[in-house]
Amino acid sequence: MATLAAQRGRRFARLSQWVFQPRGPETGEILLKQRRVFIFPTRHGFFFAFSLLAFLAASINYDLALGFVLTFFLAAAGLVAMLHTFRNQVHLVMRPLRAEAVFAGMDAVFEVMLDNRRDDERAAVWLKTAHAATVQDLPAHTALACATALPTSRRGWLDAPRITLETRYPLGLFRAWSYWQPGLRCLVYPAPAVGDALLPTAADGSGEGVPRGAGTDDFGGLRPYLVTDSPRHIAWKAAALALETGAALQAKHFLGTAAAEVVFDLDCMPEHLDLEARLSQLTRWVLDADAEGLIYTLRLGRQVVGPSHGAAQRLTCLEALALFEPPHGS
Amino acid sequence: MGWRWPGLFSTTRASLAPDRQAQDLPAGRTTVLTLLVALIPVLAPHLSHLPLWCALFAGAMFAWRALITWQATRAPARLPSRWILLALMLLALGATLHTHRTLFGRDAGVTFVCVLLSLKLLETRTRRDAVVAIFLSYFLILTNFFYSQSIATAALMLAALVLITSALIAANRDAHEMPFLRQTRLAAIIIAQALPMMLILFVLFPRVQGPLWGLPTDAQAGVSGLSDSMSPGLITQLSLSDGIAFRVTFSGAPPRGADLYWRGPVLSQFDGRNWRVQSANPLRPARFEAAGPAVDYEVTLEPSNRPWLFALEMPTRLPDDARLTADLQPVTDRPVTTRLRYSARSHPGFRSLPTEERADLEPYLALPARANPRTREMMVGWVLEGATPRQLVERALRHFRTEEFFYTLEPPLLDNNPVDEFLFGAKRGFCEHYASAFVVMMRFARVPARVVTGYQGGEVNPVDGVFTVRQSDAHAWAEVWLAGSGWTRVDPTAAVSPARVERGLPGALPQRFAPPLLARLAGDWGAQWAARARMNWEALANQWNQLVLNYTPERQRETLEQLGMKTPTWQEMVIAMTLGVGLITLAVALWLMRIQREQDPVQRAWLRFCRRLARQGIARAPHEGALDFAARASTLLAQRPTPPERLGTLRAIAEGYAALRYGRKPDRVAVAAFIRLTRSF
Repeated sequence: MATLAAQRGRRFARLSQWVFQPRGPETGEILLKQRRVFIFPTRHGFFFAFSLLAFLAASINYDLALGFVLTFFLAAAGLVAMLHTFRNQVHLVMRPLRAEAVFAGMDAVFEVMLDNRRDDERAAVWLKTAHAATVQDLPAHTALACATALPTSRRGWLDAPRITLETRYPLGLFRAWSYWQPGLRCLVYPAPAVGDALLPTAADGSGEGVPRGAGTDDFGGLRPYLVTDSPRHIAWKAAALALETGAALQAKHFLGTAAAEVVFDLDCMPEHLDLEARLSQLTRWVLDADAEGLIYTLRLGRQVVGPSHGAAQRLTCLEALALFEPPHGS
Repeated sequence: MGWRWPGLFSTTRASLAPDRQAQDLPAGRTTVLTLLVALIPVLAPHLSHLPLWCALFAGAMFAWRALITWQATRAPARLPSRWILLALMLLALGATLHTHRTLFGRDAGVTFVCVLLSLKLLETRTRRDAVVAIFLSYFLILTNFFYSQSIATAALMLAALVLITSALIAANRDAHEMPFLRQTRLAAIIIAQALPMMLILFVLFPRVQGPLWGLPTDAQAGVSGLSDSMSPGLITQLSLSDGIAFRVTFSGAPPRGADLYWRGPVLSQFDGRNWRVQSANPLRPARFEAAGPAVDYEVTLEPSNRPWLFALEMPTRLPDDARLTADLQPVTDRPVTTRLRYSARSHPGFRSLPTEERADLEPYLALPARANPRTREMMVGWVLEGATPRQLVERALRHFRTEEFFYTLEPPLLDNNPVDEFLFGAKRGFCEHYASAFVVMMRFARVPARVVTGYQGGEVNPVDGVFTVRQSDAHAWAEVWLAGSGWTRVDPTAAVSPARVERGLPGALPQRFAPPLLARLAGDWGAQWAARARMNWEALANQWNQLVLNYTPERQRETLEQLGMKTPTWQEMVIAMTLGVGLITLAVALWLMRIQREQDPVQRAWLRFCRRLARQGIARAPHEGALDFAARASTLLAQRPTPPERLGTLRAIAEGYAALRYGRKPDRVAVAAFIRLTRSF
């Protein structure tokens, strides 16, 4: 019995494999070919068909010639609507755009591009993932960037979710849908630890930190605002102006007097913290050090980043933290 | 490197939405307003037969919803609470039961659906609600056909079909609403694309003879026409109606006017006021022999809800399921509830055979006791003077002619002894008065007599040669039984107004009594024009009746045989229908995809150009832009013996492509020039 059920299950899996042909992540531009668009009546469609049976019975019973005309008109319109629904989706061009790195716990946002290269509008195209849904009208000859969010919990690479594109337009009697996994990966950094753990000093990195804010009173001018900048460093006076002119936000840049080099070493962290907590704490320090314009070094086992400062250093460090894997056996 | 958007494209950032099912989205304003507009042509024809309370109720709900939607331009519409709607529902349900005594059947059903829909309008919050209301509206279109299937109704309902479909489109605009006109245009396109499939289904869908279940008794209510009894005033009423009783196509020339007696119910039971069809069958049927030329014709009878056919006197051949009663009335097996076509043959010059015995004739001598004493007195006097039955008939007709009798559509009301009052008092009447009085006179004189009702005359439509007999041609005449010649037709109306029989009703009446409507138009020219217009319209209506409304199982078989299917079975019809619908679906699909393929001539020309270069070994890489590719292709071509103007053309094509594809909206001339350029390469 069990083998029979298993066999049936396998056969069903093979059938669904053959019908839906899952493709995995696709990095390139996708033209939705007819083979990739599936179509099936909706609940409204079945209800509609059932109503038409009732219309037909009434027409036969009362011998209503125009009742037949109406019934057949509606049935034919249903079929035509099926073609329109199919057409609303087929030959749509899709492209993965980008996914910006986020910290764990934040929503990863995957951006994709839908491109309608047709003379007619494609209305009410839904993009659905397991977590979110959005609906769009694509005017004729228009490309539209759509974003879908995915909550994150773990650091590392996160693949874009499988997107179901679907539409019921124009009459809602049929649902056409396609599956697409955009070839996008989102880099998830460790979540920065919360708390007031002080920056470690250069010498040992064991927690004897230079006081936070040391040397931060030397105003060094303005630089473009970065997402990781502390709000306290935003040049609020300049921001008012920036809002009006549409220019980018500026952040105050402080020259650290503590030119003393800071080293963040994974191996010198307090023992009671596990690996992820240590990485979180390191992430916090990297962000803080960067906000204060310090020159710092990150040591993750044998991997050493820096010493350096600035955006490039921060990004390299964060990436190393996101992707760090402890050596086996340790 | 950032993302560059080619100039033609516009970008907007889509916002994230929580996962919502499309059906739970609120019903948009456009959806509701479109549905309200669509319901106007659906509900308006119903107003004439809905109970007054229901018409007012539906109108009030309709206006209420319109007001709510109109006011709620931005905020979500504030609809009445479900308790109020429930109370209204119960109220309307009670009123429906009170009016119709039932919830089933045609009229009660229509009332109920109208109530249901008007309440659903006030409950339409989500798209799901809107879709239910829309499907109900489709059904309401169908109910209109219970009452009328005329061309005008069909046109109005087609408009309603497009509008309701437009509302359904609006309900499925999940992202943004669409302007009413564009959305209605799409609906019209869908309906237009559905037309060929509808025609195939209509012609080939195997028809079954209804009804599937017993028709409710009110299914055919309100059909006017002759009945199985005749009271004074019945035919007078009918003669005011312009309605068509039946149409006739003669296979030869139509007989002359005086022979056009279309025989219907024969009435021989008299209660002093009303004439009725004899309830007991006589022992021996009346008999006659065919004589004179035969007339072949085909009748299209409008539904009368009675089992009667009409045929020229006397029919010698009738359809299989029809027969002549003992009174020589043509009847069929069951009531004519739908338009019925049958062919028949008659011999207007028939001869009756006096085969009846005395006992057979007794029922045609019965009269109520003590009624109409003055008539009896007069007739007894005539008999005592020694007249033969034949002389009595002559004398009665002479009596009508010489005394001051008038033929009028406005006879005075007659009371207890209607024949006495008619003969000795008013002396004014319509054909039923004359026929009734004549038969009573004959029976008092012991001459067997009976009243025959039917139609007399008719009118040829010069447009299609179809002979039309209207309710206004309804007529009553008499038959007397004479020894030696049997039942003999006597038309007392002809004695008073010979023109009625020869020229029809309008010729026999003073002008102001002419049938209403178009004949009333002032002036001869106007009347002629109106008559011609009416003829044209009726010829069209006849075609409509024959081709569309009368598409019965038999007609379907005939049509399919004409189309080349020999004795089609229903399986063959289903196969042909499936094939036809499949082919047309394919054609529509190709049409829709064709638009897709043809939509950008520039892109097609460019791709063709690239394919041609690829055949020469210069393939464009997928990532390569037009200009980059042209530059690379030039260098590659320059290494081969290539004329320099060819390199110039190559660059011009690439620049043209970039300009047309990514520049401002291209004009047609530039596109044509570009295509020429690619061809010339």
